[in-house]
Amino acid sequence: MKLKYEFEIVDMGEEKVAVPVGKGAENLQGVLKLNKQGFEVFSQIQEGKTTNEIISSICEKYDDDIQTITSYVEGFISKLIKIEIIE
Amino acid sequence: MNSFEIEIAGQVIHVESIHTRPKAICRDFIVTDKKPDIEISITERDIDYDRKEYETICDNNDPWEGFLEVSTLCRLLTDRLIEFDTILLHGVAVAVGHEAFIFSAPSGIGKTTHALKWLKTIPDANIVNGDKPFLRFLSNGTVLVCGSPWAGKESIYTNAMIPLKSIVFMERAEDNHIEQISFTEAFPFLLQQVYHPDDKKKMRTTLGLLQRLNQTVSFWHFKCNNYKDNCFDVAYNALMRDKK
Repeated sequence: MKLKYEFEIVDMGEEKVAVPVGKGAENLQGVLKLNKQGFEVFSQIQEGKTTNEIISSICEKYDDDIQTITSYVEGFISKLIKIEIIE
Repeated sequence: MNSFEIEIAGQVIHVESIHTRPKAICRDFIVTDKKPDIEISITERDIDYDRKEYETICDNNDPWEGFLEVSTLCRLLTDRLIEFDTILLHGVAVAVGHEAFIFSAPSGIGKTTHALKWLKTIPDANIVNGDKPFLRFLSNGTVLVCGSPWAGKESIYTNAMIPLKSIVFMERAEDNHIEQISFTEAFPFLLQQVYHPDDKKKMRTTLGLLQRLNQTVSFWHFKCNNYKDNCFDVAYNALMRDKK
């Protein structure tokens, strides 16, 4: 799983914003607003981790059950695929 | 080849251009006997880059080369000024006394029309730049709005640097209404109107500088109808009450 663009994370306090940078970034209109959980997943996608690796990593870190975490991570990744951010 | 020096946003730039047009456009910013901070030598390849952009936007296969080189100089200079904590924001910068306000919006919304109302109504108001003001970030937190010759179709500009007080994002509406917005709310608008360098490192610097705006500048969302009589009053009264 690979992001199509490079992103710079801008810290806005309660939320973070991912801004595409570099050549081709102008093709992507707008920015991604990320809440705490979204940022967690997005950062791991940036590191090149697979969906399963992300789910495992978040399960180790938080007490939520695996179904909830799996559902959130897969839903988040689906949104990124839909807006054509993930290759 | 034409050689000249200009001073913009506090930096001295040595320019070597192919055509004479860039020097003519920059006439009010020309300096002599100053050591350059930046050297720009425009090549045909640089102009070709902008020709592609121009043809995409205007569908015109024969743009006037000198005019095109003026745009090329603006792009190359904007890229270099980022190294000096200076960025370009699309908008009309109006100075009232020792404070500046930027009215920012996509083209055709009525930025210039509105700014001209300020000039008509306030005796000491003037336009620092009518299209592409530079913002220079000083180490003490002050942000200066800097004049430049790239000033839109009306070509209204002043060779001055004035502390920035507010940025107003305009939108056309039936009625006039203005409200202060947070930096978080303003950020997507800022990103739409700021110059995006291709270079990733420079884009990161640009984002860092945009965040510094939050320290000293207030942000406003102005729903604007320039044809209604209260248009100037609505904006002016709100912006003048602002104490940030």
